Amino acid sequence: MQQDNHQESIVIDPVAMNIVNRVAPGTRMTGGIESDGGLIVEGTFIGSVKVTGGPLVLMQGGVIQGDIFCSEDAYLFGTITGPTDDVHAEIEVAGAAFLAETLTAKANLTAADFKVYEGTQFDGRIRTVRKPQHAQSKVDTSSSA
Amino acid sequence: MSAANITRLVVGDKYHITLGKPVGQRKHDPDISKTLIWKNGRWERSVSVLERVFQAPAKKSSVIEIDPKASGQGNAWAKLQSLVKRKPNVLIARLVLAVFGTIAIVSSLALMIGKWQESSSPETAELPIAAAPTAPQAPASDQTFPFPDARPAGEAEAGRVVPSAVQVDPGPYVIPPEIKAMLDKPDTAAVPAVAVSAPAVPTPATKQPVIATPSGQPAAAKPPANTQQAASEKVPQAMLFDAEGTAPVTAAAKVPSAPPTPQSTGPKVETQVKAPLKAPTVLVAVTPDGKSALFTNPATRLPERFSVGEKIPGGETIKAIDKNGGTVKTDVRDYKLE
Repeated sequence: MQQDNHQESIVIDPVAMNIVNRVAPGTRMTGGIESDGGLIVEGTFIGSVKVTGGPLVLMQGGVIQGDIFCSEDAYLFGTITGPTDDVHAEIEVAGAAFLAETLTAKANLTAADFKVYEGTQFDGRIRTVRKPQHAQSKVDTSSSA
Repeated sequence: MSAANITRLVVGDKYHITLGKPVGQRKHDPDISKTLIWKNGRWERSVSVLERVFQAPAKKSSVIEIDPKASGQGNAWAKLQSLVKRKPNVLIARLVLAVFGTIAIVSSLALMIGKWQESSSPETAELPIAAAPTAPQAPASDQTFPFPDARPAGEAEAGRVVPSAVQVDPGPYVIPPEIKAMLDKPDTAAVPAVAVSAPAVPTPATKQPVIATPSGQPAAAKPPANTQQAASEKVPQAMLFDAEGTAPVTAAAKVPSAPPTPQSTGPKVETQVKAPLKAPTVLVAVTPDGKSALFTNPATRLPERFSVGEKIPGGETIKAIDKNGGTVKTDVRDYKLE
């Protein structure tokens, strides 16, 4: 993670972060997915998402409509909503949840750690729990002026 | 094809994504100086007290910053007043307190010393007064007369009259000790031999105003005979008469004068003695039995004892002696004890 002008950025390296699956932009997927590896969502996924062995990266423009479970870190840049409009989605992150400035979520978050950035729109409850197993993140926290 | 390549093929290559501005403490944030970050055992961006003391320049409060836009002296005066109303300089306050404290201590010590001096020597103030000739005989303020009923001044009660010398009943005259000693001597030795033939001092009726001059003085001091006669009437008793110039027309008066014999024991009157100054005959004392009286011999200035019928040095004959009244009557005048 790099800091530039007081903003942090991250480098997503699929190979280093063991991201094996991708929902390409313009893709609309319905159902449930369980990924043994990281997942990048750039399209729309309606259903439950369970990601283990890797991070969950919800890119800007990506939409997840359903519950989310991630055993490692989750980088949320897109949109998260519940199964229905009046229901909040349940997000469980064993690692750290990064709520980026472009995130729009209507969910209840349960994570070991979380980091909020200015501009994020989160409608829901945020709860932190002791992470039973924290996966080492590839985020570079060195600051660069 | 490796898995990595497959992954890159499927997922894509690595790419850089901006998360945004984190919420909360941020590094390199100019506003972070308002917050404290604990790092390496100290608060970051914090200034220690020592740094503030030694580095921060002290603002001079004695300099008045006058706004150039302000008009007149009102603004400067207001600033000056604001300076005055500030807390006083600690150093100046301490100096003032020290000065006042020193003054108070010195004044108290001076008062204590003055009171001690006054209490230690209360009679020193009376020494100048006691320097008078009669001072040795004058009793001190705290002394009391040796009267039977005399009491110390401090013990005098209100309404109780303390006897004093003024209230003593005069009664019979108290003869001085030296005179009394002379009275105790036998009459034969003390009786002066009065020259009956001629008085040494001319009588008041035949007094001539001649001022006796001591030997060696110029004769100009001696007034002429004419003026002496004119002033004869005005000659007081204290005036001394010259034996030569004022001698009556008697043979005894023309007897050549002999040098005065200073006889302390012999009260014999020497009419031939020429004394430059003669004291008048004064009644000194009266004997308790009332038979004799003491008169001062002008020639010798010694008291002499005379009885009734005898002639005193003044040429007068004693007629009567009143011991109670202290008076002696002569054929010419009456003498009274002073």
